[in-house]
Amino acid sequence: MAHQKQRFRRAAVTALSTLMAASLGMLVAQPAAGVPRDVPDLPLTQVDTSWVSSAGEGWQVSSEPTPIDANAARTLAEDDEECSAVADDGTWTCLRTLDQDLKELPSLKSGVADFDPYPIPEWCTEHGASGVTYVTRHNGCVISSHVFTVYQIRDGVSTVVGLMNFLVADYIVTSPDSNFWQHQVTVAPSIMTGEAVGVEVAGVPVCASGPCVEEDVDFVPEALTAVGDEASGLATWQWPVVAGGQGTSNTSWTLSFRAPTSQEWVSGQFDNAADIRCDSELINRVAGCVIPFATPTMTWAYWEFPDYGDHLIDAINSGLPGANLGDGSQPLHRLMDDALQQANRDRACPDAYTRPAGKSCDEYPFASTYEGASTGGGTGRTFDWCGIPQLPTGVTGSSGYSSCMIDATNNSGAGSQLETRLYGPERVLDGDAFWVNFSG
Amino acid sequence: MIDSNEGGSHTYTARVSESCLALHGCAWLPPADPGVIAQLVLDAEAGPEVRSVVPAPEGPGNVHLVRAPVIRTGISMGPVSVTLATHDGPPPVELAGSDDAAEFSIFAVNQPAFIGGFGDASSPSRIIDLSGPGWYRLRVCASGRARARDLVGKEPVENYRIDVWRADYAEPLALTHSVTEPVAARARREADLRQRASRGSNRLAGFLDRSQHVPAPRLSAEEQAAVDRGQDRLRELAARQRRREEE
Repeated sequence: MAHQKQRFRRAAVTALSTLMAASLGMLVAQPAAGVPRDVPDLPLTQVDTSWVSSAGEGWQVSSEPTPIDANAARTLAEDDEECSAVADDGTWTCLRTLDQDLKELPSLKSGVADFDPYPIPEWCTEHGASGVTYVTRHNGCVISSHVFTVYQIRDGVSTVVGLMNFLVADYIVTSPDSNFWQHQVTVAPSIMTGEAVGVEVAGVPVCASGPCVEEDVDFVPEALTAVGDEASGLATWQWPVVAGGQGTSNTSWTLSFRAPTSQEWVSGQFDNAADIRCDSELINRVAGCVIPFATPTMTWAYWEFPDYGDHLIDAINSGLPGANLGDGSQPLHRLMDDALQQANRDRACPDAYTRPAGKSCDEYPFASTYEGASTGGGTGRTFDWCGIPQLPTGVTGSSGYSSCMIDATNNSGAGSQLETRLYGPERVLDGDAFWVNFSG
Repeated sequence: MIDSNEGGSHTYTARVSESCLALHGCAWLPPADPGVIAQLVLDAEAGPEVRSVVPAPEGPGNVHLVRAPVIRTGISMGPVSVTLATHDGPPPVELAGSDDAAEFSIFAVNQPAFIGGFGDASSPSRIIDLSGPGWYRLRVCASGRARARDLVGKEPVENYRIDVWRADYAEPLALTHSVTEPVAARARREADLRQRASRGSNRLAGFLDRSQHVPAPRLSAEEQAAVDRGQDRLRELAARQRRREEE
């Protein structure tokens, strides 16, 4: 699986208005547009966002005072912590991401704010606070674990005087029929002690990359006083529609924390690795957005389209791509060019093939894919029940195409589902990968 | 490409794929007798954006429309000529020059409805000039569908005149015998398919054994309801933006 680094930023600030980004990083596969390529195959796709740093190794809260002078106070911080300035009273705070793979999550209410919150889906919470982004074609979700520490210098000695372990649950919802999307964040403490009790949390949405324009934000700074309290924010973003175009964006949240005894805020940028692609390339549909990293699967009901199913299954069993059969199997890739589609269809189903009454010619891989008969190359094949004497039977291998005469109603019905259930609703654009499958 | 606007009708070239012309933004109730217009109109699955709950056309209760009609073309792919006209009431039936003709009811949801190809960028279509969501009657008169059956069309050789007017739901009506699939022929065809499905069950089982079954991530009812509400909001924001831009 190819990966592309995505930045994770944390910042130490003295005021919300002067957020400062540092960088750490991680990863999401982002295929280039317009060309067939290998992309992951899961309907629920795991995006590896493990940290570059070794945060959390051997870290623990020290109860022993550590003698330092005020000027050297910051040296106490762990290498991977981001800390506020030291206030006049000797207090400073730090944020750090925990590298632990927390499996058991506390209950997430996902919202005590004024907006109608999205519950965090089980397909996200079941992986614990892994820091890994999980995506479907329409949703992206990541839960991560962090610690907020309050230090204080007393008589020249630095001491941990408060601590909050907390989860950040981050959830994106897109619509294939809207150029707007929503990005929710929830901060939920799992441990609160000492001077961390009553910590204020504030959030600011960030357009991390791409043409995202903030439409609306709802995050009221909230004081967390006990485990079970939550702070939530919901940002609504829009892609400024470009007729016939597309744009890929990434949005995130900057969360800021301030202990009750401190005048200083400490902030970090909490990323969701799910990039959002919006487009208006489908002329008969309004603009919409999807998470293109997720490869959709088109599943037909076999009982509804047995003729169509038999041809596809025979073709796939003979080695042609498109079904997720494990190691080495390749998906199909959408082809939108009319002339190339017609060339594919002309090659697979030429005039010379006799159409029996009530039957029409079916080609696989589909004319609307780069793997089609002309653009994909290779030679034709058929099967003994297909009624095409011009093509050989018994051919195997991943190169080439298959043609077959099947029930015309079955052919059009199943073919139209490819359009109405996959290409349109999942916004499968030129070069996008997809799998085919059947249900019983 | 022909594109004219004469006497309240639009003539344009639409690009067919999968041997179908799509009615975007429309749903329907599948006919009680599936064969009555089956040679011209195919019962297909509606896209999620057009699914709609409407009062039942007969009797109490509501009907959830999840099916949509598509017009079957002769060619499998390529251009056809479409003339689209809207009327206040049913226009006189003129079948001269038409090989195949039928009427059926569509339910237009609250968004522009189109007749055209399925959705590629180069697939032209025209908005049906409707007076809001609801039931409409649609009459299709087609010619030339036998000239290049199941082939790729290079130039338009098929013509579709489509008349639309507001009318309560009514069962489909064949205006030419050619659009009806005879009961016996349909029964024979469906029996063949059932037999194939039965014979093919081992083939399917073998395929399912090989294919990797990663269950699609399901949202609970509560999670799905929240996402549905959110997507409704997102669609409304987009619709509001489009209205602002139109003004």
